[in-house]
Amino acid sequence: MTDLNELERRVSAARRDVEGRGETFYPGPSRVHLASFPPKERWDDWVELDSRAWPEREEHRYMLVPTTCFNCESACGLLAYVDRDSMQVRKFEGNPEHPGSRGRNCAKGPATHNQITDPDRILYPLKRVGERGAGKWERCSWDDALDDLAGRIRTCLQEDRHNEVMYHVGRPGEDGFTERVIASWGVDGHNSHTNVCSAAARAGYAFWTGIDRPSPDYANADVILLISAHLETGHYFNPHAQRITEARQRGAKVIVFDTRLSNTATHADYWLASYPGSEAAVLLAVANYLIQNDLYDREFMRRWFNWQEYMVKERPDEDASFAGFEAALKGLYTEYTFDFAAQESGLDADVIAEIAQVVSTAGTRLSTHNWRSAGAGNEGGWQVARCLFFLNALTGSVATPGGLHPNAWNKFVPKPIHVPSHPQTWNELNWPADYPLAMYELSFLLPHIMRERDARLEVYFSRVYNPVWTNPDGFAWIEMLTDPKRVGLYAALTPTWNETAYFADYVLPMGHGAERHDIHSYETHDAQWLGFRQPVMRAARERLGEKISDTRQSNPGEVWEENEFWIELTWRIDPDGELGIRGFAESKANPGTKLTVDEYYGHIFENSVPGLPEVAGAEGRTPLEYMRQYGAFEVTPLVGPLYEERIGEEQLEGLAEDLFGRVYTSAPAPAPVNIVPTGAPEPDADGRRAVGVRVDGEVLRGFPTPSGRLEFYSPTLAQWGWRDAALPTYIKSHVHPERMDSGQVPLISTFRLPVQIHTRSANSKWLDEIAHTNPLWLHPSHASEIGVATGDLVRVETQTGHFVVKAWVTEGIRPGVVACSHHMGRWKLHDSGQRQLMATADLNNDGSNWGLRRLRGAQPFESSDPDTARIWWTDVGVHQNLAFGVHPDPVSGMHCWHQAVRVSRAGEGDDYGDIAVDTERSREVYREWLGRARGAHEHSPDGTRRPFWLIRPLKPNREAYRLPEPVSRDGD
Amino acid sequence: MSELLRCLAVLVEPPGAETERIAALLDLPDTPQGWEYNAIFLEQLYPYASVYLDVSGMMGGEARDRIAGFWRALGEIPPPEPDHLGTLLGAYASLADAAPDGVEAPAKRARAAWQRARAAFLWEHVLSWLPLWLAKLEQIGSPTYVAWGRTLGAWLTSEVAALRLPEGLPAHLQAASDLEPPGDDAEAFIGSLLSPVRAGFILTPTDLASVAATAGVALRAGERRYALKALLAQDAAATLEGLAELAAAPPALAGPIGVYWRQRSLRTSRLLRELAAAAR
Repeated sequence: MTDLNELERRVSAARRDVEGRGETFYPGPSRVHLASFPPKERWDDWVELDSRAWPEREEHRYMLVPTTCFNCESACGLLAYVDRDSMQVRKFEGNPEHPGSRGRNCAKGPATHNQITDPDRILYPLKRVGERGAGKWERCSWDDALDDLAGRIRTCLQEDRHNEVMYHVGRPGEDGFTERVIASWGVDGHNSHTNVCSAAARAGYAFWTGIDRPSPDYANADVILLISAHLETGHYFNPHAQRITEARQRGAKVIVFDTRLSNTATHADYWLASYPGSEAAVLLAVANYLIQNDLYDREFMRRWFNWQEYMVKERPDEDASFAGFEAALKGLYTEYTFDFAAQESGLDADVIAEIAQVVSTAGTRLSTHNWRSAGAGNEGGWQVARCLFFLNALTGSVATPGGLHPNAWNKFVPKPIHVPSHPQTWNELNWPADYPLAMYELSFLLPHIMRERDARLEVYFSRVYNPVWTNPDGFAWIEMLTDPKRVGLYAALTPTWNETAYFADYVLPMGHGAERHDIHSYETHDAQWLGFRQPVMRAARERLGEKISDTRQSNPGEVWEENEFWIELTWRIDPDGELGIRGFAESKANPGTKLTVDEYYGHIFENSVPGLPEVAGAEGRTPLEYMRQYGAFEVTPLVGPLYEERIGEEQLEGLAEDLFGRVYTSAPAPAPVNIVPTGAPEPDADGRRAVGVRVDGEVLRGFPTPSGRLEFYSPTLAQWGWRDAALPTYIKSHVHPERMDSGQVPLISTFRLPVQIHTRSANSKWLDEIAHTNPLWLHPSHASEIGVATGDLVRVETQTGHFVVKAWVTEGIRPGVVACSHHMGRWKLHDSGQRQLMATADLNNDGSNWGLRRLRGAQPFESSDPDTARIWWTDVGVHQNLAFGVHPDPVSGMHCWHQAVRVSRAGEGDDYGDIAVDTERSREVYREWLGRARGAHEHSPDGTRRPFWLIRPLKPNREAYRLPEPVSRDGD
Repeated sequence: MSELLRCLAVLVEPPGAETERIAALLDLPDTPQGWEYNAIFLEQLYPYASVYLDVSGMMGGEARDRIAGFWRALGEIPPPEPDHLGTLLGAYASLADAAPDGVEAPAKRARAAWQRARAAFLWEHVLSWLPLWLAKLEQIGSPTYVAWGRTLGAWLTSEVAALRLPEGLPAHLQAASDLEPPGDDAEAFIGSLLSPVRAGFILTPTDLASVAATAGVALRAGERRYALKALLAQDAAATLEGLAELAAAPPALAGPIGVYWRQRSLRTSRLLRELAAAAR
C-alpha cells in the first residue's frame, strides 16, 4: 500500500529545498503552476530546437537576457534570446518575471528584433553637409559632435543665455533622468510631447487629486468605462488589456465611448458612438442619475470631497453642512438629463439610462480611463477626464479593489545618486504666461512663439521625437528649423530616420530597447514595480566574463545609449568643474572620474529600492546583478487607499489647521523613499508644510491637492480665471455643431493603429506588413452624399490647407463624422532614410505656401535582409497632421486634435498624398486660439506665472515663478 | 496532500527536465519517457475529462463548459483547458489549500464552505470519470505510468474516505443520453459507441486492435471512428461480438458512479450481442 503521507512529506521537503535555492520546482509548461516560460534558473543556458531545421533536431543554445520594450510607454518586459554561438540576438519574447506585462507582449515587443536589424538604421554619428534639409551627410566622430555641442552650451551658460538650450523629448526613457541632467546645467529647457498627447486628461485628474494620471485596477473591476480604444492601443494597453480581459472573463461589463468601431468597441458590452466632444455631457447625465437617486457613496463624499470649501467660497449664504452640500449638489446637475445628453451626443436616451444603471451597480469596483481620445480631441477635453473621475468620486471607487487609483501610488521612482537643485530660470518659450494652467510645455507652439518673440535657440535637441511629422503644423517647424537665425544648432538623437532629423545639423544614433539603459515604473495595476532596460549584448558579454565600460563597445556600429551620452556631454560642458556642473556627472566612489552606468544603477538598486538588496542577497547576487539577470523587481504587491493612511505622531509637531481641515506641521519631512512626481501643496503662511488633512478627528494623509481632499471644487481654477469651470462641467468643443460652419464635419485624427507606434515603428517589417495605410473612414450615407466609394480619392480641407487621401466607406463610423489614423504618411525627401514605410516626396515652397507631393511609395529593395526584396506594399498613407493648425486648449494647453473639415471628391490635379498649407493662415489660427487663453498677467492671483503646487516635469525654484513684465510680441 | 497532488499532476504533461526528480520522489519504477507519454496520453487515453463525459465523446462541449462554470462560480477565471487532468488536479490542490486556518467562527464557516466546494468538485468533475480512466490505464499503460496511476488512485481513495461527498449522480452523468438507436443512422451509432459517457466503456485504439485480431479482420490505420467503420464493413457480426465482449467486463468501481458505468456498459454489451446476432 502506498504511504501517501510519506510521499507528501517527501515532495514538500524537496520543493522547499529546490525553491530555497531560488529555482523553480515545477518548471516547463505545467498547468499546475502556469510556468509556460523558460524557468529563470536556466536563462544562462537555454536550449531550443531550430524551427527552420525541422524535421532535423538542430539545437541552439541561448542566453536569455531581460530588457524592456521601447516602443510604447508600457515598457513591457522582454527576454532577448542571445545565441551563444553567434552572439547575436535571435528573437525577443516576454519576460515572465516582469510584474506589469507578466510575460505577455503585443506585436511591437517581438518586432524589436526588426528594429535592431533594420538595414536602414543609423549606425554612426552624421553631420550635415550643405544646407539644412539638403539631405547630404558625412560621418563624424562622437568626439566632434560632443565638443561642438558642449562648447555651445557652455558659452550659453557663461553668457547667461540659459533659455537658448532646449531638449525636446518624444518617447521618455528613464523617469526624471534627462530632467535632472538639464537641471544640473541650470537650464529650464525641458520640452516634452505631452501637450500633443495627454495633457488634457492629466489636467482633469490633477485638478481632482493632485496626481495627473489614472491607474485603474481593471482586473478586480465589475464595471469598466473606457473613453478610448484602450484595449488595443492606449497607455499601457498590453498590461491593461490582459487585466481587462481577466475582468471580462469574470463577468465584468465593459462600456466604451468611441465614435469609431475600434477593436476595443467590438469587445464592449456597450459601445457608445457619441458625437465627438459630447462625452462629458453623457458622463454628467450618468452623474446626475447617481445624484438624484441617492446612489452615491455618501460617507466617502462627506469624508473626502472639499465640499466645505466649495460651500464657504461659492455659496456663502447657504447651509454649509454636508446636508446643505447634498442639497446644492442635487441642483447643480439637473440640466444633465438623459434627454439632454442624448441631444448632445446623438445617442439614444434609453441607452444612456442603461449605462447609468450599470455604473450604479459597480459599487466601489468601477474602473474608468481616459488618456487621449476625447480628452485630446476637443477644446475643454480636460473636462472629460474630470467628469469621468467624478463617477469614481461619487461611487467611492477611489483606490479601492477594482476602482481607480492615482498613478503616483502605483508607481515607484527611486532616488538617484545625484539630485541637482531647481534651476533659477523660467523659459517662456515652453511655458508662456498666456497658458498659466497648462499641464505641460506648450511644445507644439514653439515655432509660433519663437517667431512672435524673435527668439533663438543656440542648441536644440530632439530626442526620439519627430515634431515635423508628429505635431500639427509641421511646415511651421520646417520654417523654424531651416532658419539659422532661429536655431543655431539642431541635434537629433534618434534610433531611426525621421522627418525632423532631415533638418538637423547632427543626427546622433541612439539605441533601441535592447541597446540602452533605463529604469521605469508604470501604473499597470495596484502595485509598485521597477523595470530595468539594458543593452542586452553588453549584459550577455558580461555574463561571459567580459568587462564593458562603454555601451558602444557592444552596440552595433557606434550606436550609443543616452545615459552615457548625457554624462559625457555634461562632463565636457564643465570639464574642470568651474561651472559647478561636473559634479553631477562624477563618480562618488572615485571622485574626479566620470560616473559609469554601473555605478549609477548599482547605487540606486543598492540604496533606493526597498527590499531589493535582501532579495538579491538571498540569491548571492548584488542588486545590480539581480536586475541584470531578471530585469524587474516588485517593490510592493498591493498599495490600496493611501489617502486613508494615518499620519504618525512624529510628524504632528507644531500643528496648524486651516478652516477646512488642511493640517500643517513644523516637523521636518521624512526623506522620501519614492520620489514619484505629485502635486506639491503650498506651505501655510508661517512656512509649515502640508502634512495631511483632518477627517473625523484623525489626521490622515489625504491627497496632494491644496485642500488635501478630492477637489470637486478646484480653487486653483477659480482663482486663475476659470471660476466657470471650477466644478466638473461640460464645455462645448470647438467641433460642436453650434461652432461649425455649414458643410463642415469633425475629423477624428487621434486614433492609433494597434501594431504601430508613432515614428518609431516604421523600421519594423513585421508591423509594416500588417499596417501601412490610413484611409479616411466615411459613413455610407456621407459617401453617397458626396459620391465616393471605397478607394476613391477625397480632398479634406482644413483651416490651413488640405490633404488628399483614399476613402474607406464603413458603417463603423458615426454618420457625419470622418476619421483618419495619425500613424501613417511617413515621407522622406531623398533616397537615404527609412525605406519600408516612407514614401519619397517632393517638398515645395513659395512664400507662406507649402506643398508636399508624393513621388513614389514603398518599394522592394536589396539589402542585408532578404525580406526587403519582398516588400509588396506601396501605399504608406497620408501625413494629415501637416494640414492641421495649432489648437491649444486655453486651460490644459493640450492641442485639441479634432478638426472641422470639408470632404469632397478629389478634383483634377489632386494626387494621393498631396498636402497643401498656407503657414500665414496657420499663424492666424494660432492667434485665434491665443485669444481664448486667460493669461497669468491678467488672472494670476498672486503675481506668479503658474500655481506652484501643480506638477511640472522640471521645476524651477520659487523665485523663477514670479511674473515678469509682459513680453513683446513684435517679432511677428 | 496538495503537494503530492501537484507532483502527480506534473506527470500529465510531457516529460521535461523535472520529470526525473519527480519520478524518483514518487518511487516510480523508472523515469517516464517521451514515447511512453505519447503512447498513453496522445494515442490511447486523452487526459481531458470532456472526452469521457461529453455526449460527443470529444474534447470541449457542454462537459467542458460545466467544469469552466465551476471556476466561474468561485469567482475565478477558467483556464484555457479547464478539463485537462493536470488542471483538474492542480485546481483541486488549490481548493484544498484555500480553506482558511483558525478556530474563530467565521474561519470555521469559511473552511466548511471550502470543504463543500472541494467535495463537489471532486464528485462532479474528478470522480465522475477518473476511476474508469485509471482502470483502463491499468490495462494498457506502461509500468511507469501504471505505477503513477496507482498512486493517483490511492490518493483518490483517501479523499473519498476523508470527505463527505454529495449524493446523487454528477450532472455530467445525469445529462448523458443513451446510445443512438442503431437502425436510424449508422454513423451516429458508431459515434455514440465512441462516447464513453453514453456507451459506458472506453474504447481505445488498442481495444480495436484486439477486436480485429479476435475477429480475424484487418485493422486499418486511422482514427478510431475510421478504424471501427472498416472493421464493421469487413465482418460486422464478429466486430460487434468483439465489442460486446469488451463491454461485458466493466471494472469494479465503487458507489453510484461505479453503478452508472457498470450498468451502461452491460446494457451496451447486450445491445451489441443482439446486433451481432442479427448481423449473422
